[in-house]
Amino acid sequence: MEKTSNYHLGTWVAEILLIVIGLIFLVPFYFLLVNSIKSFGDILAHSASWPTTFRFENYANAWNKINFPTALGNSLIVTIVSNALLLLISSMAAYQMVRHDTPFNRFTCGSNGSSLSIDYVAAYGSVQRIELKQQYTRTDPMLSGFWGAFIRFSFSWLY
Amino acid sequence: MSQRKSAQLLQQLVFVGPMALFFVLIMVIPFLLGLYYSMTNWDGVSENIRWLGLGNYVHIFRNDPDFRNAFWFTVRFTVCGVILTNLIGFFLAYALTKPLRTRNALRTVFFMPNMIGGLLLGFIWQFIFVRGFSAVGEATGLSFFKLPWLGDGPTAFWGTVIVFVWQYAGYLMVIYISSLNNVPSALIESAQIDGAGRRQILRHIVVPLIMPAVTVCLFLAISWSFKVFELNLALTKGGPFKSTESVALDIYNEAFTNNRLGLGTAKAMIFFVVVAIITSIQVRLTKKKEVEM
Repeated sequence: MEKTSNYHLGTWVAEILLIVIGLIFLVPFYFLLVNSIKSFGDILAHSASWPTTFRFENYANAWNKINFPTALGNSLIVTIVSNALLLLISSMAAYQMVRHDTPFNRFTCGSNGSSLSIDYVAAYGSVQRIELKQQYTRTDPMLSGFWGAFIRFSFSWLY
Repeated sequence: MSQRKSAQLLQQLVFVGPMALFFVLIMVIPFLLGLYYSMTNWDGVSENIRWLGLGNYVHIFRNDPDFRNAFWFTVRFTVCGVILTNLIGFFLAYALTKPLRTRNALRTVFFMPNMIGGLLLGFIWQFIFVRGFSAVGEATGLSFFKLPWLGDGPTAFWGTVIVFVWQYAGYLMVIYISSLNNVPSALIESAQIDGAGRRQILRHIVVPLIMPAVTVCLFLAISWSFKVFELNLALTKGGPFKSTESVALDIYNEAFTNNRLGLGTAKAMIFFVVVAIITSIQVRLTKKKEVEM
């Protein structure tokens, strides 16, 4: 009996501790949320406090300024296409690599894994300038880097 | 027999071919081009390119204190970042595999920082460090918040480490959780019956069984923290006085601000070799500790 009550106390302490850590993790989101509805002067003067006036027109301005629907559409297309390709290509390759453990397959797997440690700038420093600016969006490096990761994970699943 | 063989070849081609093709296009060709440019004086735009051989590399090793400083910063950052993200990620995972009431909500909370992109996240944190921390410092009077955050070398360094840990601990936590869930409860129960304490179970049963996850997490953390770029750019831009410039940022500045793409690529090549050696040593070492069930 003694032991169970002890156990309960331990879990409660752990639970409360974790909730506190979780709240600390959420602090940046609080800043984000609170400052998104303040006026500019208010942001500079009272950065951490609760807003005195609620300016929801900030959201309307942001929506128009970055042309949100188009931007979201672009991100959506990139996400859907790259995920579909990623899933298809990586899982096919992983399947073949696990079923047929030939030297060539081992080599491709290894080099895919090691490509994770290539710096984006290193990989793209060679391609043209404008394309280099595009690395900001990180679509292609992300794709290739994730192949390595994805294959690794698929491997650990299949084993 | 030969029919079987050609069928196998076709299967190999269809299954591995697409990946190999993209890999060559996205990784191998740019890498080889980079190797070539690292031996020239190309500025990234002009038509005339002069072959320098190993000139860029000699220059980097002989007289480039900025690169050396950036490397030293990155090494220190990697050591702190890797240890902290993995320790915090593991203990969050360990605690959140216990039967807590708010378990699922907390898992979501800890993973949430990964939902925001790197650059944006850096700007949010820069605001917090500069504005938020001083506001909190005024309200509470704690000296921790009154430090000149991001204003001098040490606080800028630790500021970057804090944001890095905040962002990636949750990601590693997810990997550790999935691995901890796969530890068979029968083994833990039998250890309990044999009289093992909680610490002994953790040390001698749980940790050896999740070594595959440790391999992956260490690898990811090392390569992320070595390649830290957006965070560095958004938080400090390498300042004050280049004291917190990461290698990736130094390469970027060399190639695109100073317009010395050749030299920048040479740095990137050196950097790649170093990171590849370190991560492969790490993977080999931790793989050795993995146990079969």
